[in-house]
Amino acid sequence: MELNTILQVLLFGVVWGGLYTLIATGLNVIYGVMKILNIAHGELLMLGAYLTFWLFTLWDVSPLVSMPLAALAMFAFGVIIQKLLIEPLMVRTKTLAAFENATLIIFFGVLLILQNVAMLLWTADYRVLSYLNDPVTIGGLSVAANRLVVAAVALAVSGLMYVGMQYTLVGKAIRAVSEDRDTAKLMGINVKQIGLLGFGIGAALAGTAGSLASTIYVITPTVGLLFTIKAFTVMVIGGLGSQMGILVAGLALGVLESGASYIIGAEYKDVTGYVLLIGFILWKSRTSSAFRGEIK
Amino acid sequence: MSRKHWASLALVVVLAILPIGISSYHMSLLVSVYLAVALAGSWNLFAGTTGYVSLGHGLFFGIGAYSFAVSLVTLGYGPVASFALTALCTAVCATVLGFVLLTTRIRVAYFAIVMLGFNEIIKTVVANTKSLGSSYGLTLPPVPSNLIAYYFLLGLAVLVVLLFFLIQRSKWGYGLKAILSDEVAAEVTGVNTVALKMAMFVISGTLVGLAGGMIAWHWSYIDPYMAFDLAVSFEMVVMAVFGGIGSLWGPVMGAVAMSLLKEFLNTAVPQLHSIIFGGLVIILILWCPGGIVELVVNLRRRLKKADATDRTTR
Repeated sequence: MELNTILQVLLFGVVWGGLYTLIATGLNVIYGVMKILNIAHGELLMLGAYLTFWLFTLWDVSPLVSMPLAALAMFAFGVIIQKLLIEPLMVRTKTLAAFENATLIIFFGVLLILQNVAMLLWTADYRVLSYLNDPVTIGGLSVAANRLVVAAVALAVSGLMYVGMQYTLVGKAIRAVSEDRDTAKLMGINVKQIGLLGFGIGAALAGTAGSLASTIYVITPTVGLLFTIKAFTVMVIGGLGSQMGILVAGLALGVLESGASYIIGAEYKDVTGYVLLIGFILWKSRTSSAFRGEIK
Repeated sequence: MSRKHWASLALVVVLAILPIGISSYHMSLLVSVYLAVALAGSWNLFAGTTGYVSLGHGLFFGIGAYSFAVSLVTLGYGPVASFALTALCTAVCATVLGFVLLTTRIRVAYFAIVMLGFNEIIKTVVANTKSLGSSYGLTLPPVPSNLIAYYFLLGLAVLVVLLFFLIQRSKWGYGLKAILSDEVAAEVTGVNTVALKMAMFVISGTLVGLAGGMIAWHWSYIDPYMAFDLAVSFEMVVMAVFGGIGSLWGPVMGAVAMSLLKEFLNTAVPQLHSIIFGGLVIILILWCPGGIVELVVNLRRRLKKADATDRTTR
C-alpha cells in the first residue's frame, strides 16, 4: 500500500470513528445514569437525521444550523421518555433484573413505534442529502468537505462533553449518580432530576449525531439499529463510564472498519466491528472480574 | 395427575383434532401461534432457567433454516433425514458457541450483545457464500400438505412446554434455580454450573433450529435477511418477557396473546399495526412489569382477599 492510501483509510476511519464516539457518548450517559441499555438510541439518531434532511430539502437550512435544533428536539424527547416511561417503571419494579428486562421491552416498543412512524410519514425511500460534497485537497489527500466537518464537529462535541462531565457541577453530579445512585442521593443530589437530564443529554447527543450522519450516509427509517450496535461496541470496549476510553475505542473501531473494508471488502465492514466486540468481551470475561456476572 | 394436567392434555387433544373443521386461514393463523409458542418457550428454556438473556437466539433459527434447506435441496435427503441433520447441526453449533461463551461466567448484558453480534456475523457470512445462495437465498420444494407444518409446530410447542415442566421438577431444575439466584454460590456448593448451562443452551438452540427448519420448508424460500432477521430474535424475547420470564406458562401465554394481537391489528389497521402494537406493549409492561403471569397471580390474590373479607363480614 502506498502512504497516501494508508492516510486516506486512516482519515475515513477518523471520520466514522468520531461519529461513533459521539453516539456512544450519548448512550453511555444514559446507561450510566439509569443503567438502561437504550436499544432505541439509533432511532433518536434517525429522527435527528430526518429533521436535518427535511429542513435542508424544504428550506435550504444548513445542517450545521439544524444540528442544535435536532439536539434540542431530541433533548425534549428524551426528557419526555424518562418522565413518561422510565420513572413510573422504576416505581413499579422491585428488583434490578426485573427493571432491566422491562426496559428492554419498553425500548423495543419505542423502537417499533419510531421506525414505523418514520416509515409512515416519510416512506422507506433512501434519502440522501448533498451538502459540501466538493472534495478538498490537503497535502495530497482528497476528501469531501462534509466528512471533515463531521469529524471536526463530532470530536469537538465529544470533547465538550468530556470537559462538561469532568469540571461542571452537573457533570460531577451525573458521574456520581452513575457511580452509586444511593450514595449520590445521600450526598444531596436530586437523582430524579439528574435522571431526566441524563436521558435528555444522551438523546440530544444522538440527535446531533443524526444531523452529522445525514450528510455522509443514506437515511432510512431502519438505519438506527446499526448505529446503536456500533455505539454499544464502543461503549463496552471503551470501558463503561470512561470518556477517554470511548474516544479511543470509537476511533479504533472507525479505523479498523475502514481498513477492513479496504482490505477484505466493503461487505465485511460491519462484521469487523462485531468481531472486535466479541473478541474483546471474551478476552475480558476470562481476565477481568468486571466482565463476569455479578449483576444478574 | 391433577386437574391442571388433565386440562393441559385435553387442550392438546383438541388442538390435534382441530384441523378437521377449520378453514385454511385459521390453520395458518394457528401455525404462526405455534411457532411463536415454540420460539418463546425455547428461549425461556435457556434464558428463563439460567438468567442469561440472549438477544440473538434467532441465530439458531437461521442456522436451522439453512441446514434444512441445504440438506433437502443441495444434498437431496428426505425430510425426516433433513430434520435429523438440522437438529444435529444446530446442536453442534450451540455446543461450540456454548464452549466459547458459557465456560466462564460472563455479564448478562454482554452475553446478550455477543449473541446478537454472532447473529449478524453469520448473516453476513451466509450472504457472501456462493454455495448457500449468497444474498439471493435458496428455494425449497413446497410442503406436500399444510398439516405437516401444523402438527410439526404443535408437537414442537408441546415438547418445549413439557421439557420445561419436567426439567423444573428434576435434579437439574434445582441446580438451575441455584444458578439463577447466585451462580458463584451454586458453583461453590457443587453444582456443575457449566454442564447445566451448556445442556440448557444446546436444548434451547436445537429446538429453535428445528422450528427454523420447518419454517424454511413452509415458506419454501429463505434468504439470509429473513432467516437471520433480528426481529425473530427480538420477538421471542419480547413474547417470553411479556408473558413472564422463567415460568412454565408465561411464555406460552405471551406468545399466544402477542401473535393473536399482531394478527388482529394486521387485518384491522394494516397501516398502523406496528405502531399500535408497540404502544400496547409499552402500556402493558408499564402496567404490569412482571408480565401476564404476575397479572394473573395478582388477580387471583385479589379475588381470594375479596372472598376472605366477604366471609369475615358475614
